[in-house]
Amino acid sequence: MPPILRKALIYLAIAAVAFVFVLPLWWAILSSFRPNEAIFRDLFPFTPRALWPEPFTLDAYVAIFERGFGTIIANTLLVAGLTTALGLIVNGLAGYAFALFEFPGKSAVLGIVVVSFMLPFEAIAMPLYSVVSQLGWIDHVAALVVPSVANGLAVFLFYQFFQQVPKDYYEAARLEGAGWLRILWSVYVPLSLPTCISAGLMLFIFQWEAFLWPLLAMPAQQFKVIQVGMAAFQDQYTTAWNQLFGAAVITALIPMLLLIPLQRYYVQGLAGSGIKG
Amino acid sequence: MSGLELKGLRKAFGLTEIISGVDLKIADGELVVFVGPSGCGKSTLLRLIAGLENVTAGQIVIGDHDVTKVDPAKRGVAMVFQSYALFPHMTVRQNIGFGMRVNRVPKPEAAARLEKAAALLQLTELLDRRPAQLSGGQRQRVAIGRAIVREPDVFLFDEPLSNLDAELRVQMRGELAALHARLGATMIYVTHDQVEAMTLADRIVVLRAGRVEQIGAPLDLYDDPDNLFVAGFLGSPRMNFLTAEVQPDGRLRPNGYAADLPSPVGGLTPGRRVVLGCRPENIEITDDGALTASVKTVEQLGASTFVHADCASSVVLAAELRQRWSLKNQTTLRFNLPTASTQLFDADTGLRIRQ
Ligand SMILES: Nc1ncnc2c1ncn2[C@@H]1O[C@H](COP(=O)(O)OP(=O)(O)O)[C@@H](O)[C@H]1O
Ligand SMILES: [Mg+2]
Repeated sequence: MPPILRKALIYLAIAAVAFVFVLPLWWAILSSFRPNEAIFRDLFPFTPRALWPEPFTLDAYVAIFERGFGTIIANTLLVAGLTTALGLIVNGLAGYAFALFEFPGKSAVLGIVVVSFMLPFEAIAMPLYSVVSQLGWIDHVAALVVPSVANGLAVFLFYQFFQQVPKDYYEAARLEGAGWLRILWSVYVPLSLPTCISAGLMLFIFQWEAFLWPLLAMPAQQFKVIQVGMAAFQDQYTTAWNQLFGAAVITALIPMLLLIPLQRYYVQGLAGSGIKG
Repeated sequence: MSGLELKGLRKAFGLTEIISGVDLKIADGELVVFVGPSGCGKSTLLRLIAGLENVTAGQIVIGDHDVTKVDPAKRGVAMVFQSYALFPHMTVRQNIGFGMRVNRVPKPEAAARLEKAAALLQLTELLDRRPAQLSGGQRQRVAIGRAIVREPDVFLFDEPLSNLDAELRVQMRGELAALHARLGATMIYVTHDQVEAMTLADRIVVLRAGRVEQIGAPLDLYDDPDNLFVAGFLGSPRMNFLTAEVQPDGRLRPNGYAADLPSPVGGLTPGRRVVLGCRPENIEITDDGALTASVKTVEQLGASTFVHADCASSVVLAAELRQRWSLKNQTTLRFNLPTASTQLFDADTGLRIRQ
């Protein structure tokens, strides 16, 4: 087989695989730009026009925001943002304690933390509900934020990173007169930016995708978050497919937009921070 | 600046005792080197002084203050780590100034101290670089700069040159000696390298397995070791040791030989087992030597020649000669141990036998 042909075949195969992966995404995007009646029009029987947003309309997006999707986004940003900010503090402190301090029962507690993130949320949803309702937090933002702040996986991420930081840094700073909180802030946090971003993103996405818990904890539906709000686009008799797709596109877009400016810290990693060498 | 005293210092990790009772007095302005094989507890001893480890028993006094239970930051010590421990995200300026920022030293004073230290260590041009952009020797100097600006009573160095290549190590050794002369500060320097110890120290403390084997000026230890360990540790190639038995006439019969040598020490009990020590540069290779050995390797370094030869009883003899020498391998040579430059040790306890 001549090399050029070989190459062509490889590219063809790659393109085919990529097509399969990208197709659903593309179809969701273009469907959000179609009128609801036209969504399935070119699919059965299939014509290539199904892959193009035509007829083109922004009706879906207009309708979404008229139905209060803006507030829902703001609500979710508030919940996810609060969770991320508090979560970074709490989990970072916990990871730091596990990595640097010796205390009785340390390995047992660390073991529990590790196990905690292997439990599916569904397993603790009911006990959590009874705790939250006894605190009188049902239908309060606190019910969404507080239980998600402490996150075993985030603690573990910080613990692992802080453990890799040479202990000499801690001791050198200690000899200079810095207390443990100062050392955390001036030495460990700047070194751990990639970890902060990973952990922060994880906490953010966790809230962004939450569905079951907000549904349970906010029965009055006064304060809706995205996943719950989206479900409302689909009622028993009719489904506003184009609006559903529009909401999905926005929902996917926001975390991506947040990630892009943070990417350079992400790539930097350990090598860039100069710990090695 | 002030001296330092250790009194009956002990440290155990769990049940393992790592430092087993160290007593030591260091005068103000002295440069003392702790030397010993890897794992003998040098770093641990230094960390006890710094306060990075808690003592199990004993006392640490710096100046007039018992600092045994004092917070590390308040002991008046500054430490240069083997890894330098420079904060990678800070510039040289921020690294050196970190302690002053933490302790809220007024800005003008902090800047003045920093400028002075930077000038002393030739770091002025490098102040805005990060550690990753510096060479090994430069990082080393930054670490020293961070110690200097604290104006400590005692400087602690933990193997500060071990990450440098051989040439740079010699150069930095010189710079450290000059720095000590200039600052006149009390310094404790830890190394496993006996050459560093010999060249830098006012006094050497030889450690083994958490105990002090001997303390003294470098040449005193070299010329007059208290025991086999110190004799063998200082000097390269190391001192030659021949086990021997005291004969009824008081002369010494080395194992595996039929010849007797005069003893440097009189009045020994016949039958006692001793070790005869002689440094390579004192071995005499002569045709009328009393002992024989078979030449293994000859290293010609130009100024001196090292001859390694197998003695009886599988001891390898090292001799350093001033003249060039061209014997082939396997040739048998005859040598003498000049009585005046041999030392005698007890074969069982390893302790020096003096007159
Ligand atoms: N934190 C610790 N816990 C247990 N053992 C330790 C600890 N630190 C050092 N040791 C042990 O103490 C001994 C001496 O270590 P160290 O002082 O680092 O030796 P050196 O610096 O002379 O090479 C070693 O055997 C080491 O394993
Ligand atoms: Mg060490």
